[in-house]
Parts: sequence; C-alpha cells; structure tokens
Amino acid sequence: MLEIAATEHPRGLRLTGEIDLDTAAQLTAALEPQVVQGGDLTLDLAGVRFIGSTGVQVLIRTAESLADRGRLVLVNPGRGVRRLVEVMGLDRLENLEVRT
Amino acid sequence: MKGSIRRTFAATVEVLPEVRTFLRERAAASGLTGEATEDLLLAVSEACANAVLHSGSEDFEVEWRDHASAIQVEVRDRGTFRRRVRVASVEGPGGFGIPLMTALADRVEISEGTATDPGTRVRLTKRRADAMRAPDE
Repeated sequence: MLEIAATEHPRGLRLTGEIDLDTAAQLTAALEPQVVQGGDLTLDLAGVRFIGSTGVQVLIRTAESLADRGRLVLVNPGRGVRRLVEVMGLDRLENLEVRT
Repeated sequence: MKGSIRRTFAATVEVLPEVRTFLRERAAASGLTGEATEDLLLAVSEACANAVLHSGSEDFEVEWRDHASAIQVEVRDRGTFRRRVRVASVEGPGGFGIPLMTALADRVEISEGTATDPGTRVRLTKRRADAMRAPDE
C-alpha cells in the first residue's frame, strides 16, 4: 500500500507505505503531471518502509524525464532507501539529490 | 542448522507485502542487524518479484533457514526461468533484480527451471555480521 500526498513547499509528494511492483504504477501516475510542469521536485520518503527495483526505476525515469528542467530531490530517506541509493550509485545521476 | 520455516504464497503482486512481513519477523527472530535485514529483505523481494512476474508459476515458496554462521533464504517456484539479458539502450532501465541480489547477498545460487524441468530455485546467503565462516550445511 502506498499513500501519496501533494506538498507545496517544497513542491512535490509525501509518500507513505511501500513502493513495489504493486504500487509503482500509482507513483508514476502521481509524478507525471509534476514532471510535465518541470522545476525541482521533492519526494519526502520519511514514511517509505520499502522500495524495490521497480520503485527505483520510477525514480530513475523521473530524474531522466526532468533532465535539465529540474532536480529530483529525495528527503528523509530511510535505511532501505539509502542502501539502494548506495548500492546502485544513484547519487551519480546528475539531477538526483539525496538529502539524509 | 538451528531451524527452518517455510511459507507458500500465491504468485501475485498483492502478496509481496506479506512476504516482507514474514521476512521481517524471521529476521527479528534470528537477531539480524537492521542493515542485514534490509539487505535480505530487498534481495529476497527481487527474487519473489521475478517469480511473480516471469516464472508462470501459480505460487512460490519462501524458506528461511537459520544457520549458526549465516542466514539462507530460498525462493522456489514451479515455473521457468526467463533467460534474458536486458540491454538498457533497447529496453530502457531495468533488469536490476539479479544484480541487486548479488550486491546485497554474500552468495547467490540460481537453479533455473525449464519447460521440461520446471521449478526455479534462488538461494540467497547472508553471513551473520560477526561470523565469517561458510554456512554449516
């Protein structure tokens, strides 16, 4: 299960739950209009208990879609998210920023 | 071996949270560190995702084995292993499951099910943080 709430300052989404095969499409749909709009996009991950490779693919695609129109900023990542970012070297993506 | 517990799950995406609950419970009972728990949770989830997405099996089994020096988790389905090499420039990002397993577990063994001999078995071994010996089998 994944709950998604829009945030204004900073603009983005607050996510609560698990980002897996079952919920990744839901996240993609919520991100789409935000990516179209452009600008920096902040995802508050404090409530994310699990993220797997399907979820990471969503994040990578989002950063790629934003390209030079904005950064994807991940804030409050839990241990699981930090581990995935580390193992996959996602901090090397130019417009993806992880704030621990 | 100190103990082994297995559970069978329907091969649907909806059961994946249940698998993770099972793994978190077993990890706590085995006294794993938070880091080792996260690593196994992620690695096993990827194996289960493959069973659900690609094996064609109706269900899959997850077995948690508690060894003195290591934890082994085995994911078994009754289907076939998808023999593919994913090329990012052709298919976009993805195909991270098996690379992630090898990055997160200390040993990954895959026995691939085929059409004539179905049943894929993925065995993931994580040494206990304070134990460097091979698992006692």
